[in-house]
Amino acid sequence: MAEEEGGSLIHVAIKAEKLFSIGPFEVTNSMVGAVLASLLLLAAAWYVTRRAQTVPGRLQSLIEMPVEYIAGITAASTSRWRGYVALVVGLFLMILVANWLGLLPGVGTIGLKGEHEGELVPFVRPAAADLNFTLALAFVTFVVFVWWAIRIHGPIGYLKELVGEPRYMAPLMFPIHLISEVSRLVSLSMRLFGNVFAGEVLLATMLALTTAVIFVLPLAFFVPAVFLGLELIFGAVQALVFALLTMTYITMAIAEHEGGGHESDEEHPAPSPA
Amino acid sequence: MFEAFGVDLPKLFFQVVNFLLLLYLLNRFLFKRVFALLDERQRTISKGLEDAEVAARDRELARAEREAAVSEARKEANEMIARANKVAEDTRNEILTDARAEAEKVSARARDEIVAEKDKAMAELRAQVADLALFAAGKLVRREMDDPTQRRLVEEFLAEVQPTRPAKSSRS
Repeated sequence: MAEEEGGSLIHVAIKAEKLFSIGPFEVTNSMVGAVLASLLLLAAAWYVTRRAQTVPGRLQSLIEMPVEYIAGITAASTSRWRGYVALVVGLFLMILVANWLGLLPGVGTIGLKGEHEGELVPFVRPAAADLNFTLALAFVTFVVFVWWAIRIHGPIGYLKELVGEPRYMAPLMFPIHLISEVSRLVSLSMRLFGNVFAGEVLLATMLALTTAVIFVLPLAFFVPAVFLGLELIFGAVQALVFALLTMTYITMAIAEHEGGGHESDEEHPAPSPA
Repeated sequence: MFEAFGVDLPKLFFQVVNFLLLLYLLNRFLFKRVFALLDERQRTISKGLEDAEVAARDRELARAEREAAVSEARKEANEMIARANKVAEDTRNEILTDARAEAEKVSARARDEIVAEKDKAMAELRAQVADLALFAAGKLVRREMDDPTQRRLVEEFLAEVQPTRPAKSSRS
């Protein structure tokens, strides 16, 4: 592994690295990345709210466009889309900004020489290159779609869903259903983490390779740029995938077995979301 | 497994809290506003489209109405012209018939008058001829021939002669 080679150019730690501690609480560089992404989004939100007009200007449409786009997709899913559209759009924006933030120059390259073996510890790490971040998002999604399932079908209805239709198959089906629910949590978080982390490793590798040959082949300078462009697309695609999968899971939780739902809608009338 | 990825509860918890906080703030300040704007824009656009549609429909309606009016007027004008033509024709025919009848009447009356006049003249002529004949015969026989019987004889003769005369006169 790169870490063992000490001064190697290729170095991407699989864990987010500790920057400093506040008491027992470790502050990692991916936390900084997440907070930076959040602040950027909030700044954009503040900008839009402050100067929003019905006929949007250029910057306003740039910020509104993804919101509008994802909201449009979500609005086509179920009639209750108002209840979860904020989560879907929020996930998309957060992951998108966090991913793109990682592509900025300086992120991942400016840092402190760490306590161990003089490794560079970047101040900022793309948030999604830390499983804590992706797992946190997936966890929120998980809670929300289970909550919707329980809200629409009731706790007993949700359990019935897990048990499956021929009741005698329950001993086999219940664990399978349970695992399939939990696997969504794992697949969501691992997919995002894997893609972003792999992107980081790819970029670092390309950068190291081209840095090594830059004096021989000056044009090699452009190679990382190509991969940066690719990562730009991957970052958006992963954000879209995460958001749309979240939407799909919630839609399925709401609509699943709508016909055979035993009038669970009437038994447990869902209060309309605020 | 998770340990290898550096997952531990405080960090996870931090990320959850960070995201939820962000979501809350975004929802509070950005989404509500953007969704409201989107709704408003949607309404404006759909209203504009609706208005355009109504206007187009009105225009179409007006066009149809105008066309109908024009064609109605044209039809009426044609009818009027046809009626006028017919009236003129009728009047002409009537006048012609009347004139013809009048002329017929006039000529018939004239003919009657001529015939009456001729009859009168003939009757007078006949009376004078009879007188003349009687007078001549009297001169011949040196006697008065004013006996009614004789006069009747002469008149009978004349009556026998009469039918042949007009035929002869009309031929000459």
